[in-house]
Amino acid sequence: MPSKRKWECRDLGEPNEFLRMRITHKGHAIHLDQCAYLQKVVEHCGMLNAKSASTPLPAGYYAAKNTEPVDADLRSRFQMVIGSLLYLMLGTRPDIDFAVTHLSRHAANPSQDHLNKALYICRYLIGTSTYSLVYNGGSSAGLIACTDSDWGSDPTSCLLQTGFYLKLADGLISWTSRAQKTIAYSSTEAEYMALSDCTRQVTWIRSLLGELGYKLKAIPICSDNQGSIFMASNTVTEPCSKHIDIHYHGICESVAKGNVELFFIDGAENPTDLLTKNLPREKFAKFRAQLGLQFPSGSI
Amino acid sequence: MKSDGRKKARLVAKGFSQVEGLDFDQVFSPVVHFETVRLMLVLATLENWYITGLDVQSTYLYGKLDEEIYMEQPEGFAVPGQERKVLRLWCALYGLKQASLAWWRTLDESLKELGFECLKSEAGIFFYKKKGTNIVIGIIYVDDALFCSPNKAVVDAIKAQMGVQRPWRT
Repeated sequence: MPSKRKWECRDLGEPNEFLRMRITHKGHAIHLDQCAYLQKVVEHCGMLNAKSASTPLPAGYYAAKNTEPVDADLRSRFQMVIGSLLYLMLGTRPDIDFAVTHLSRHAANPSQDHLNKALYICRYLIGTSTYSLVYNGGSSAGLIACTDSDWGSDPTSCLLQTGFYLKLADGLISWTSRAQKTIAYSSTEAEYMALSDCTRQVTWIRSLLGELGYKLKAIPICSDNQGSIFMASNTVTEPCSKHIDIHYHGICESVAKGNVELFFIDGAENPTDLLTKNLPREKFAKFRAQLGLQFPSGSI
Repeated sequence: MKSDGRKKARLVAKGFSQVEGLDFDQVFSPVVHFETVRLMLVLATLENWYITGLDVQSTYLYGKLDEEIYMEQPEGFAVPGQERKVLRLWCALYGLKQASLAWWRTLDESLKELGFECLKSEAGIFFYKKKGTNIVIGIIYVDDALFCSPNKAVVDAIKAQMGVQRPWRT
């Protein structure tokens, strides 16, 4: 068979869609959204006429484990809803990251309450269905990362929650909200692990851009915990940090090499908070605005 | 059924009857991360690059197989008089467990011939860099691709080399 066989390709010209993500150029800005898919999800969940909610989940809500036996019908419906929401979250909706991943932990045995809460997320999406991620092409702000963790608020689990994101051109390009695998003894430790996870992601982006020929200066990472910044910047083993797994200390190397630079920001001004817990309405809206998620003015 | 009423049929292999170690070995194939797609789109916007999309038709059929696989003749389409013979597959079919990997390998090989390199940190990104011309970045998700470059002419030349036999529908 000839190795240089030609393929039948279709030229899509200037793309307006990729992986079901709509791409719109407006002046110097680029908008990404999944409005059409979102509409389909809402319709599929039977929520077309539902009232909208102002946050993805009620403030302070934590999903308790279901102790009842598995209900197969409920489970498959729950998994369908959560699966669709996960896809939206991964594509263009960092604002529902915490809510979706928090609920998805119960995918093996969900309760009716879990399903109702998944539909609550749908109701939130109804009110924000035209939001898109906006990146400002004229921006001079480089890559910036932000981390936060939540330690001990969740009564249903003793694991801490980690959240971090990476921002470029005023919009989020990467976001993560997940429960840590290791138990932390203090909030400093929790923040240290969050910083460390974030650094790994930053290192990956650095090497990716490096391969494309970009030589980056130290990438700033913001944290609202002085203790963890101190630990990462000073490689002395304190008695209280002896037990921390060795792989978390990778961050010290990144700091020493100048790949990342750590900054302190006020906890009340840390937008990453939104990736670690269910916030009340005002706070949520304030932080969401800083993610680059925007309500398009007068369009669509 | 397609949206315009045309009907579509496709020969599909019964992948479920394949035996591991015999008919297939590795089945995982890399795809691009969502975050990389966003990063590249933002980069292209910041740098004011030209972006274009491409989509490969019936992708999996281009994948070359490493394994020796035989298939029964499809029901109702057996060659008259030779009904007892089986078919040897040279290229992948939809339904085969290794179809996606076979396609990815073929793609990787072909793009290398064109001068692209697959990034070490992201298997879904292909980078074209030659002295004297502009760079091109290819973002590839199975059969969907985006190409970004500061220079439209370079992308167009590459697209022409990738070869499109039928007239492009836009």
